[in-house]
Amino acid sequence: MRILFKVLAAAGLSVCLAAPVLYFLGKISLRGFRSSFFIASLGYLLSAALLSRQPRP
Amino acid sequence: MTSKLAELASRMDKLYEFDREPVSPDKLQNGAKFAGLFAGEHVAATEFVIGAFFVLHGVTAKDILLGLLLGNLLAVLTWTFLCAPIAVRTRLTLYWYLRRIAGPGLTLVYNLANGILYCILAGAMIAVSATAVGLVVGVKIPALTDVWPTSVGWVALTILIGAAFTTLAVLGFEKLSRFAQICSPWIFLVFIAGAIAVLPRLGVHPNLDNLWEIAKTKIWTGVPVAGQEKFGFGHILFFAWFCNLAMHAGLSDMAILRYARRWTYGFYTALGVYPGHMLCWLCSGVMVAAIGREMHPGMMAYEAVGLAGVIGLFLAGWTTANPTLYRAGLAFQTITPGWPRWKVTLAAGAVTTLLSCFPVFFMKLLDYVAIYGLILMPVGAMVLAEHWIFPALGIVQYQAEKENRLFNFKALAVWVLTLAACWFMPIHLYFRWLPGYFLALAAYTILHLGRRRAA
Repeated sequence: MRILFKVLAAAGLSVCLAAPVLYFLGKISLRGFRSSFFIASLGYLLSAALLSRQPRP
Repeated sequence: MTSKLAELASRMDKLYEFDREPVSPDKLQNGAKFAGLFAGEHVAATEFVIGAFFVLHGVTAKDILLGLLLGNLLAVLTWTFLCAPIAVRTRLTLYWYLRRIAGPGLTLVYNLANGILYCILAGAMIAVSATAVGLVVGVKIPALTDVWPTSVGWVALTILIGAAFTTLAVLGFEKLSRFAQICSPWIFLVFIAGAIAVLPRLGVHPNLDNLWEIAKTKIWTGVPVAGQEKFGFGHILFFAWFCNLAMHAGLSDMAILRYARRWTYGFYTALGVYPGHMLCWLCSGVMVAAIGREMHPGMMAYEAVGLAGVIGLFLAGWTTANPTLYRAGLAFQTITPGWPRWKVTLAAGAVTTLLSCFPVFFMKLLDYVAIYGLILMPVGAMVLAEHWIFPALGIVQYQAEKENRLFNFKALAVWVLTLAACWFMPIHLYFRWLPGYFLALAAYTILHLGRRRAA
């Protein structure tokens, strides 16, 4: 489970960084940027919170 | 009076008992730990305000870039060459080291001053979060020149948020600290994403060919908004340098750096200050330019990133107000005999919440940061003198401890006189700490010259 949460958290942060760049380059709309940033943020915060609750191996 | 003070000081000692002994060699941490610790250290809600204020103060693009680069470098060097060597040699927190130098009575005064200053800072963070919530619930944000609360809505909002932050701090400070660690990289990305997302609105082309031109003409234009003082390179350089004055020259960060294997670990602070006090400030400057140079952090975050920005701003205020409330509570616990931890945090939270209603602490944040560092700076100078200069000149060290004195009155006199001298200095507030620091260093040494050891 730790690996899954780690991957999800990393993916969330990556999307948070990629979304504004794609919007700036005109590849996605403002609405697309804001909703993808929002969803990726929730994904990151949730997975990172769950990851912190997992026992360390 | 003296016995009462001695009793208070002894109570304070008990509070800090857990870190009374120097750090043992087996507890020392490696460089990677310090890199991780400092990396997320300086991304707080106040960064939304500070970077934006630089734009409002009419800084030019060249001045801000050079000023932040050099100012942060000076801050890192101060951590590395002033704070870290003393921390590594003594392995003590400032609290216990100051106790040996200034006596328990003066250490108590220092702690209380620190507690009050922390409350004001946490109040400013609550106000920043309130601008995010205010945007959602439609409460008007105070103007730049406002000192007193401007509306019932603003007062109600800050009290509600302050009460919520305080309750959560009372319920579980440690859990919140863990949550803050989780939030830190994401909040940093909110700044970066926000700045990138508003670039098209400012007219920046996708190939960035006009980025510098836009930076000069639409963001850091060199023209202050009405009623704001014009800032130049010197203001930015000094602000970036003294922004954490209490931590580096003031030596508060001895608490962290005493765990370092080598004094050179002070260089790791660069991993915190350059992202937080350079990138985040630049990003908030870009965001405020995109909303027409209006000081409204909530609006800046919303216009840039949407709802996630508002949440990010709120969380930034919350996660940074939480440890600040904790530290303030710890400082006040001395004068509240027998009070449990929750009760002291509640009291500190109530004071903080009350302060957050006053827009002056948030709208004059830059001046407040300067005053905060200035007030605590003489203590760092005196510790430096006692640690390095006294042995070099053959002056007896730790006289207060050796003579079992409650107060080192010479230290108190130097502290008060330095602040008085800084008050009357005919230079800008931001520049006063540096001559003040040397004044404290010289005055404290001169006052002790009579106590030189026989050759």
